[in-house]
Amino acid sequence: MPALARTSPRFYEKRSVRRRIAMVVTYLGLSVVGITMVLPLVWMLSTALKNEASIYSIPPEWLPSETRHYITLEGEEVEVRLLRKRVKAELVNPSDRGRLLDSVQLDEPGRLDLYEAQLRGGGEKTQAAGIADGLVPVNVVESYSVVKLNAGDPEREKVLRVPSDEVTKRRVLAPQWGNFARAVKSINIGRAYINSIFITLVITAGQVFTSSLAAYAFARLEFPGRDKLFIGYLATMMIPGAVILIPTYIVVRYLPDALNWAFSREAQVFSQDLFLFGKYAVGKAIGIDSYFAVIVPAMFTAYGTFMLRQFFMGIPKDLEDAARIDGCSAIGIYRHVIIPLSKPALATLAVFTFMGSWRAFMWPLIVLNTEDLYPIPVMLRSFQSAYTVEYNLLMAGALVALVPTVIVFMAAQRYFRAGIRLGAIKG
Amino acid sequence: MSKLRKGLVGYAFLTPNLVGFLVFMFFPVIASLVLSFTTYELVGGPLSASWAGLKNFAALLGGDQRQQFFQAAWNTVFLMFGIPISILGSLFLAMVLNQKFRGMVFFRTVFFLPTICAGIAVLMLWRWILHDDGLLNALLKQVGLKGVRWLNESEWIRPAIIIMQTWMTVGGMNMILYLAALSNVPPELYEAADIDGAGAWRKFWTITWPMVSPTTFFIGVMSVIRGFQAGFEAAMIIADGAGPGGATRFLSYFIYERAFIHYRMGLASAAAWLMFLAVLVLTLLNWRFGGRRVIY
Repeated sequence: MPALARTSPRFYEKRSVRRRIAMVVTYLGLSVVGITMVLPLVWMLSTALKNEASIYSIPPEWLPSETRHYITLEGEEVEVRLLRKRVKAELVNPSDRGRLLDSVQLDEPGRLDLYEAQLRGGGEKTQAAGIADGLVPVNVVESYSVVKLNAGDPEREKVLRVPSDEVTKRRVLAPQWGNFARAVKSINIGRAYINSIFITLVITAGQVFTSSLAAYAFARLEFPGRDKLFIGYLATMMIPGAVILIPTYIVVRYLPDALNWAFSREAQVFSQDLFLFGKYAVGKAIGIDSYFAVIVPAMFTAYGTFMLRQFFMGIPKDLEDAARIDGCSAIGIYRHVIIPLSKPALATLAVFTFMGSWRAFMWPLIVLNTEDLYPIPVMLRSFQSAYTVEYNLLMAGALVALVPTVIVFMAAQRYFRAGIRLGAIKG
Repeated sequence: MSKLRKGLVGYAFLTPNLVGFLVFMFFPVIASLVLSFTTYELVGGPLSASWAGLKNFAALLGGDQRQQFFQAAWNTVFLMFGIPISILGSLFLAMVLNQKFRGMVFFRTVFFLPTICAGIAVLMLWRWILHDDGLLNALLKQVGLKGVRWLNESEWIRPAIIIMQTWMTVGGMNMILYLAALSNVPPELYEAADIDGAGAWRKFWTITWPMVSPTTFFIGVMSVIRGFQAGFEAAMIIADGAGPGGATRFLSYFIYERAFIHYRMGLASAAAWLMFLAVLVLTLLNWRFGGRRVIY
């Protein structure tokens, strides 16, 4: 088909119709993908608000609901609590007639169940009870429920026996907001937040400060061995974390012993548990189970220095020369020229470092044994080990850990995207 | 300023970072290499380690550790099968978002959401979704498919982790990188192709794909490097460690297990160095044969 000439009016007409169709298809496709992205998170919230009985309901319920029962009293529908549901049934077989079968409880597995069954040889459907290994045709004599009226109010509470078909059952929206309180109570999430914030802030501040100094040196100052050192920095970016993990652990583990041996053979101060205000456990000064162990080894990465150096290289040199003529020292140039001009890059590095250390899991898991020091990810893991099947509580706890984080990261998204575009991806 | 003074100023700026770097980067790398030739088991100080020569490497490559180490390597490679799916998905989403239209920012944010949430909390969520009675199986049953025991069968847990990782990464950093790359493609190229009557498919293969190839290359290299170390958190949270039949004993978990559960520091270091060598060789090969232009 020959292409329509651009000058022909039909060219634009056809294009606009096709464009509109394409737009609809695009929106549809994007919505499907978007829903896929959000659905698991919605499920998380939905599970967090459910009660134990309805976590596993099939088909899955998106709205946290529970079953409630109602009866009609004097023309008014009132809610009741269902205590028992019983069915009295009679065997249909003539020779057994008159012998009542066990009361059949409905709705609860493990007891006799009532079915609607087709008799062998055709005919009408009949009711049947499941006993032992088969179904026995039965006649339902009576089917009643025992319900409690005004449950929870000891003065007006009343137990009634009503025909089962007068009890109506309904699934009612019933979000269990209490799950959040229960989750927060069973894990020390407040302490985990304090730990995470403290650890992350110190790592981020240390990383930005030392990296920016080093990056300035690599970008602008001249000193012997500069380029070789920089290549050394670059080379380490490719080394998997697993390689340095083990020696770093050994250093952290034996540092207190070495320091005790050198400085404090009597008191062994380097391996003592410390308490803030005499009551809040803050681990040891250094070594395993200390903030030091989580923070310091994570503070130095080649990546921050590399990223900032690339950015500093792009700052026009004239500005510095002008400052130097005005009598600025190197540290003055760093403070008054480089840093103010690099705010976006510094913010990007800060956001990346913050995000990385906020999520750090393996290293804190290895060097921390006391729950008091756990940051959020490690705390969540021990929470999971303690409540393996109570997914409503697990999801509530996970959400409490997640939501503030997400809000902060959403707010910092701009820097995050900028950082990605700078090629700033940590290997 | 004298040369000496200049040098001193340079090192003064460098020192805070360099000291930390030497202690927590250079030194551990060397120490790790040394450790890999010893049988250090964390009883007694590090000086009590005894020399083992190549024994650790021999055990991993042909001895009693071989079976689990090779399984770990295979598990890790298996996880990498998800990389091309995720990358192509990111490119596709970026191409769709790149057409300027209303709501683009909204969709970009929504797609980015899993990346922002990523972490232990979301892994816990996925453990619940992949549960025998979880959401995924329930949805499969609703469309008439039989569910799968994702978490309890060795052949399903790795695909499950790939599904999860695709969900987490497809609208994330890679998509943002592709969006940046696509916005750099000169629109005249597409206009010229329109005039020549080229279809969408043709335009993709002759314009888009070559123009974003440096980005694809960059993302690919980074993903493979990261892929070698991937899976630890998923293994810990979703599979309680090594998983059914050791299906989630990824290299990262293998090293963790040897070092911090069995306390075989020498052996674990040797495994870490083998992993490093694999990363190194693969990266060099990539740069040698694949790398033409890479955005940096």
